[in-house]
Amino acid sequence: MKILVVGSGPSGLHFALTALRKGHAVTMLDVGNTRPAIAAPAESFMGLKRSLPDPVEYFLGAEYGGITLPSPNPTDDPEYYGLPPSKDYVFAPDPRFRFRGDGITPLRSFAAGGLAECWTGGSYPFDDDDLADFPFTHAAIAPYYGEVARRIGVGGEEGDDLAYAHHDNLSAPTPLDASAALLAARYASRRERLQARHGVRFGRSRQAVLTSAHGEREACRSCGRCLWGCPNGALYTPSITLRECMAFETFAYRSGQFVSHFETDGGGGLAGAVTFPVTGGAAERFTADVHVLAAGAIGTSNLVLRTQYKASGEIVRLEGLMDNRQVLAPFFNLAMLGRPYEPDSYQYHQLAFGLPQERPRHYVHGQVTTLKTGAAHPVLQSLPLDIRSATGVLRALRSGLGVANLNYADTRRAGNYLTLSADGQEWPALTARYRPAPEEAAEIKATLRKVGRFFAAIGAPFVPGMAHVRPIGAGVHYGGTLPMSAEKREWSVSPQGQSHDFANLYVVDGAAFPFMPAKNLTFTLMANAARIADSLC
Amino acid sequence: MKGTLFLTGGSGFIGSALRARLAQGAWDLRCLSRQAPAADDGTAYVTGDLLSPETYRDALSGADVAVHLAASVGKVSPKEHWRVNLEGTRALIGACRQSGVSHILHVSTIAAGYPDQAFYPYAQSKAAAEALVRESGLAFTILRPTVVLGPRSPAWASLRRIARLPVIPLPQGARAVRIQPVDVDEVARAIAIVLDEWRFAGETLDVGGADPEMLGDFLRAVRRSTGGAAARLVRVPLAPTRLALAALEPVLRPVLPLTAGQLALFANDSTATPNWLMDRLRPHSPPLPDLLDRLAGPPLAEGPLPPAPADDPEDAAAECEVFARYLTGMPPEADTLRHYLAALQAHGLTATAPLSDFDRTSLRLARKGEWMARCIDAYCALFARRGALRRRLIILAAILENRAPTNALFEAPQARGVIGTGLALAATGATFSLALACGAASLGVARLARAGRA
Ligand SMILES: Cc1cc2nc3c(=O)[nH]c(=O)nc-3n(C[C@H](O)[C@H](O)[C@H](O)COP(=O)(O)OP(=O)(O)OC[C@H]3O[C@@H](n4cnc5c(N)ncnc54)[C@H](O)[C@@H]3O)c2cc1C
Ligand code: SF4
Repeated sequence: MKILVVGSGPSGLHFALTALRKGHAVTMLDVGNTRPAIAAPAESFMGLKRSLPDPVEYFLGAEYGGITLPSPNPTDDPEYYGLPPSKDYVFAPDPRFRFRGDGITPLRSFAAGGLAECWTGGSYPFDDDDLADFPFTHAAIAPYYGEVARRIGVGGEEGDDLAYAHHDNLSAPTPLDASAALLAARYASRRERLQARHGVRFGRSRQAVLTSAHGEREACRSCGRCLWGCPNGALYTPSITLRECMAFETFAYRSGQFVSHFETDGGGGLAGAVTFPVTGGAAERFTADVHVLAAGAIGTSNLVLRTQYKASGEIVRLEGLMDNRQVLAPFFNLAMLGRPYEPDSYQYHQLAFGLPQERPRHYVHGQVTTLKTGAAHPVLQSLPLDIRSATGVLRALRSGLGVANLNYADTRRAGNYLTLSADGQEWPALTARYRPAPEEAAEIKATLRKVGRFFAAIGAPFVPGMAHVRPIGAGVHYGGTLPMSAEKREWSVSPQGQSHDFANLYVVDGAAFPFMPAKNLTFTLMANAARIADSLC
Repeated sequence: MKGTLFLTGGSGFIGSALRARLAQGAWDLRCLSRQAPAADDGTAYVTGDLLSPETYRDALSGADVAVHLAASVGKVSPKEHWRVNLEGTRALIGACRQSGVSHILHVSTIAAGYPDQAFYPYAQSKAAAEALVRESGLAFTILRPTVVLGPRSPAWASLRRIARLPVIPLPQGARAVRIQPVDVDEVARAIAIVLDEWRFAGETLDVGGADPEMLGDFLRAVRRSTGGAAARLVRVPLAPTRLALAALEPVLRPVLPLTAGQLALFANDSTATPNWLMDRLRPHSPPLPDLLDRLAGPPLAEGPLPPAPADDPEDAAAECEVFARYLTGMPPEADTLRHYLAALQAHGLTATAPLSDFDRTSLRLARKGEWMARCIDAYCALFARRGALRRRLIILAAILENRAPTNALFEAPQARGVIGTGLALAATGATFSLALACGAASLGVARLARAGRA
């Protein structure tokens, strides 16, 4: 079978790899901006500052985009992502993608590998509570979790209080840094009491990081460069899977193609994709038996909307847009006072926590990062001190600083949607609207208080007044606009991802999620894409 | 020729207007002046000092009338007010008596009649001088002009200064006060009427302009007439403001926008009591809006801002040097400077970017040295987090944290132990408090000085 896949993010690539292995021919269409060469791969984070000919250019960028400044007007401050110039390629815009957001500012990527080229690797299986709205159970997807874990390498510990659902091929996690180790030890030493009093579960996070070499990828060597781009492939990125796909003769990767829409065949199906080469020139056409959308929930919805618009002139609304709300709560690990900080260590979340709720699927999921190599100047400017004093304070406290990152589940609600809006251009612009659930604010307040008490009890009190509720869009967990459902409904897909609107179209990314559990979705995106690929004869 | 007129303060603000009016030749003018003026305008000048009668006794003898305009006004010490205004008048009266001059026209001020003269040595000394005149035995007329406006008016300068403050502090007096400013030419006309008609009946006559107006409305009108944006008036309690100004005055007098005494303007009605002289003036008195228009001239700079500081690379280099020393204790390396200049450009902090007054002042002060930079930064960290100084310092910090060896200052991987860390934090806190206090004081003084110059 000839399959056309749009998008080379985690969804598209894990679909493709499974399909290729099953003997299908896959053509992948992608804008596909690529990563520049990695600077001085053998150096550690600290070594870069010493040995690069111009470290300032590397860390701040040729245009100094890595400098974070307060804008003159408080309301103009953009959400801070702390993404370095070396990851700029991930977010390079494409002029053909025009977007208007109301209540949501999503990130989007046209990179080979998609947004996950700069992800933080958190890989959590959904359990049956998380999957309650999905048309399949944990047992049905568990084998694909195992398969994806084998492909990407997921480190973690099984059998701790977090009790994540089981999947095969879990590997050993990275060694804890000193701050995380102290938190873990403190939790272990008074586990029962903490459990009884706070109800917060605590343990090791799940990370797509290798602790032993795997093919061309090396094991993590604690070099501290995760944020700037792992130089040895220990931290999984989808472009690793892209290389794997490239080894198949039946795989054609057509980058430099901006997919505009699909043409319909007049019989309820699609006849092929119309693309514009990003270098300019005439539109091209790609035909296939099966069309697979993996352009990211936002990109996928855009293509469905444009396809319908082109075929019938009709502008539809894809309801049910979701994103996980994120709350960042900085804390100080008291036991680290006066201790050295560790720039040369794994940088992302090593610990995780969870707060079960009355409604099980509204479980609050959290990850803990002990801030190490993040840029200092954004912190310095936020302290109510002169920069020199702030530097002194940061130096003294840096080793104990960390952030608890809370994620909240989201549901499909009417009024949160993606659509097109005509604005006089040839193509109407993609338009999003999002409003949080009315009970959200109270929920955040209550859970933040509970989690804050728990953190204080393990010796890492939250820094008062610093908790930050990130705007919707900053969760980077988009979905819900073309949900999988057992019944046949308009603008939805079958449990196998097959569109109910266009017969030979499959949706294999977050657009097909009927619910957004709090746990980071990408592991499930990959597993679900592999599952759907496996279900195609 | 009607007679000979001995004039003190003839080269001053009212004196100049008076000389212009009397220049038609009706009076033979003898003008007391500390220095002989350079230009010869036909007036006979007598070089002398009001307080040393021997220096002008000769010129005085034979005069028909002494017109006493000389006074100390504005921001001088109380002692100086008393010396010039009271003792000067005493000396003049003595000299008149000795020289046989029997008439005196004493130009006082509406403030001499203020019921509330607290902290206002000018008004107090002028009131005391009036008393001397009344008891002098000379035939006299005392004129009390209200606020006198004109191109070189000291009162106009202070009013304009007040009217152009970012927010106008309007002390809450016991009642809403009014003011009735008068054109300096009208004052000169009033003096000429008294002289020409030889009216020396021992009267004390107020001299005011066309109509009284509420002080707040007047200040708004002044602000509008000088091209300022709509004014925000804030009510401040009078008594504490006065006390504060009075306490600051001995040290900060030169830079204060106005003195505690001048606040009397806010506490007392400055309207003129009607009298025959005002009836004579009224047909000529220009309405207040016309007066303001005439005074305003071209609007004061609030339109295009002057170029931002550090527009040329040398300035920016000096700035980088000071800021780097402040942040790290070391001068910047050549590479740091290069990045600093380029990053300022990249982030739009260039010479042409407009700067607020505060930004300009804070940058100017912060460039003076490392400690000053820290002090101003401490202030800005609390009150101007988004200002130009912070943005520049953050840019430099971002550069310094990303290159050896200065990166170590931001990263500090070395251990210090709990006690060492605690001590370091305490020291930092103390330094910050000190810097904050110094920064606030420096900015406060600079701000007042600027207002003083405006
Ligand atoms: C900073 C950061 C940290 C993250 N951390 C985590 C984490 O710890 N755990 C986790 O689970 N998730 C994380 N995520 C989210 C994760 O990256 C996304 O969920 C994931 O990348 C989505 O994968 P996708 O394949 O569905 O879509 P995307 O990654 O968005 O990929 C879309 C692909 O489609 C292509 N495309 C889109 N439109 C077109 C078009 N019109 N024509 C041609 N090609 C097109 C793009 O080039 C791209 O290759 C993080 C994201 C960010 C930004
Ligand atoms: S995962 Fe991070 S710490 Fe480990 S090797 Fe890669 S960049 Fe270095």
